[in-house]
Amino acid sequence: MAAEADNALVVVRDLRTYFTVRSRLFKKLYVRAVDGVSFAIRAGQTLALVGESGSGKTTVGRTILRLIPATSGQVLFDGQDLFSLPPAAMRPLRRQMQIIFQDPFGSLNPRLTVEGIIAEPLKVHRICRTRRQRRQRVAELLQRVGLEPAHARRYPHEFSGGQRQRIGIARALASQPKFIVCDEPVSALDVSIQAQILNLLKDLQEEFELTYLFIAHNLAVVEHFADRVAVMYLGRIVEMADRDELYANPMHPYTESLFSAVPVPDPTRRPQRSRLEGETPSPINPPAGCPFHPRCPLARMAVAGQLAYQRGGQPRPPLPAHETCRVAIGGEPVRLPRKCVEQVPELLPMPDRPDHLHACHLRR
Amino acid sequence: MNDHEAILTVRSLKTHFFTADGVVKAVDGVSFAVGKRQTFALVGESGCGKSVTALSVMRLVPHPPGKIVAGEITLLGTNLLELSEKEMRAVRGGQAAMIFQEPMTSLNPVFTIGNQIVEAITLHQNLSARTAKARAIEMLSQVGIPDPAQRYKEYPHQLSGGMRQRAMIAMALSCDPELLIADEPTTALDVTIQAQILELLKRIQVRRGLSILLITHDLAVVAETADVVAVMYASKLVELADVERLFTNPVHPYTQGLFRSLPRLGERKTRLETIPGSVPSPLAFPPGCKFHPRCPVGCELQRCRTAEPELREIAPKHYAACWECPGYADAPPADPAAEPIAYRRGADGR
Ligand SMILES: Nc1ncnc2c1ncn2[C@@H]1O[C@H](COP(=O)(O)OP(=O)(O)OP(=O)(O)O)[C@@H](O)[C@H]1O
Ligand SMILES: Nc1ncnc2c1ncn2[C@@H]1O[C@H](COP(=O)(O)OP(=O)(O)O)[C@@H](O)[C@H]1O
Ligand code: SF4
Ligand code: SF4
Ligand SMILES: [Mg+2]
Ligand SMILES: [Mg+2]
Repeated sequence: MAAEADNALVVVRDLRTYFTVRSRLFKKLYVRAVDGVSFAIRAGQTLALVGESGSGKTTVGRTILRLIPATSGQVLFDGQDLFSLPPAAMRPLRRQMQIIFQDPFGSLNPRLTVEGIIAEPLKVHRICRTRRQRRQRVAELLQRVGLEPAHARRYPHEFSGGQRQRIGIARALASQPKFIVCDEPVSALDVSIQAQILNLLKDLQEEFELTYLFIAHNLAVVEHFADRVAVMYLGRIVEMADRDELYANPMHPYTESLFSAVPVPDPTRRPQRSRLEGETPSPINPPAGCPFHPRCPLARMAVAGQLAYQRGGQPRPPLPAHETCRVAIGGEPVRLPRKCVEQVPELLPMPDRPDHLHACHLRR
Repeated sequence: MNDHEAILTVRSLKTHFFTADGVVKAVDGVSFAVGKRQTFALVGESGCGKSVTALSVMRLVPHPPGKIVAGEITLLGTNLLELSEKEMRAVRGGQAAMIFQEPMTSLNPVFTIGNQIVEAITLHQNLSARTAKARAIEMLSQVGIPDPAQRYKEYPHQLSGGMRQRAMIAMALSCDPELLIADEPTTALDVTIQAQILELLKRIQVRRGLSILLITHDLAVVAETADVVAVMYASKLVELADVERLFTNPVHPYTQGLFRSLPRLGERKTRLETIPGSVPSPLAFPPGCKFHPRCPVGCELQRCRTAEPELREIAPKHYAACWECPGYADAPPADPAAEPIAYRRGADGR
């Protein structure tokens, strides 16, 4: 598959995670939180997963770590198929895969001291057998993340948000993992602290050759941090490319909308907004065809003949009537390309750029 | 209209919390003036006192443990601190309204959206039930809620975060305020929805001639919306200027540090610059300039470590509180509450 890379540490193939919820009529309904996601992350690199809240980013990260059961699909870690491993074989792999959470307040056990929190994985994975070794290791880890060994005896509530995130990072590092899922690790932090934590994560990546799945919604942070970027919408990846390529040439209209929504910290520059209307539909009953069609500006432009298929190119004539159809969106009748409404676009590589994949009929 | 007319002035405000651990001086001598039809942004890191400033203006500081211990807050010529609670309630549902980061804090989960807006409307206006309902539905449609007649009947939990924020804006606007205080109105939202809400606020502001006191920690949101910006650090203002000046010529080392540590789209650095250390706890503020332990300029300077600089007008309509910034030594102490900084962007946002 074109999405996979050589020397990949983590390979995810057609992953699906559905949650069951019950409707008022006791009918079983499925939340398709992750609905056919494939990607690979090269050892020592960072893949960023971006998208609006509810798009399935966290669920992808947790399913890979087997914190949530997958509905179907495959995850290879260092060549081993995680979902078919017996628990005994899973245990040594567990220590190689860790997670850092978004909320540095909720994710640390308030009744444990910092030492207790960081020593937990050392005990579970039988890394340090004696208490003294553990103490020693905790002190090293605290220093490595920019805290002091004396902090070991304090409780989480005595620390600021940034310091708590450092504790969470020390805990993740304790078992000497190869792979860390960073689930919005700086979203809850102030700007001045965000930069400190991002720099720390970068330094640790270099020092320990860590591989990251970096979940984020701030595109400026991602641009700074990622090697490769995947954009999620309603449980699917709609575009994926190397960082430079994606930021220079976003192909999917959803990616474009995300970029244009980012506020610019310069009052003298006022970018022309293509504002994205409406909100993400429910993953319980996702739209047929392209999941983005109810909000897609490109689909509307194609019908009106305002669409330049290559950005900067000539507009094309409006689509002929038989290639369009009428649908009701938010109660309003709209004419859209038939394909967009009826066929799910596959995530496919671009003919001239095999590392750049997108799932849009009209940008082919 | 006179550009120098203030809708709100806050002078030497001190709001303290008397807690078991000691006195938290959450706001400790803050002065500013908001001009009519202006968007005035108060920006700063978590815990610096932004929300307490806003709550003080609305006189909603939880008491005990909180208390406004000094200062003057004037809204449209009335000193709010002298009003009775009853008179203040009339102000809250009348000239001034507030919206919060988490709409659920001000929406009641057991009543429908429509119910709550009708209540807000009828509190101050004598309208028949039918007119009030029609007015509420009209409000919902004005804030861009699709199918407002249906939404009118729904409960807050049935709406998405963005829709709840719109409903709260509708409620705040239903009594036709002149000042809207918005405390992190888009912080909990996705960028796409944030862009929609900011645009909505802008549109409403232009249409109704509303003044907005916007509280945020996001400099990009400030750049997109504000006319005048006050930067707050450790319970005080450290810099105050119009948005253009503040972004092109920040003089306070804290403001400069904030700008440098901001990751920007299109800029790729191997390392981000940081402000070392963290925001001090209000129970243990350092002596001298409260920023000195983190300040690249003043951390070793004797004066910075022992004496706290006051806000001075270092250039026309540009205020800063830093011993070392250019123009500070020769500037007299300033009263930023004397008159608002007359700056307003054009309708295109520039
Ligand atoms: N009810 C309270 N009791 C005691 N202290 C309080 C109370 N409310 C606020 N404070 C303290 O007052 C200070 C300022 O708080 P405030 O909520 O204004 O911060 P903020 O700038 O709005 O921060 P954020 O960006 O996190 O919302 C903080 O130190 C806070 O802990
Ligand atoms: N335990 C659960 N039960 C039911 N639905 C869930 C559960 N966890 C997540 N979801 C739903 O799955 C979708 C994806 O959620 P999530 O992975 O948390 O998104 P993101 O991290 O991108 O914000 C959302 O619609 C969310 O409400
Ligand atoms: S397939 Fe159609 S609806 Fe989907 S993103 Fe492309 S143009 Fe828009
Ligand atoms: S007064 Fe001194 S310590 Fe404070 S900001 Fe200015 S230079 Fe830095
Ligand atoms: Mg998440
Ligand atoms: Mg606040």
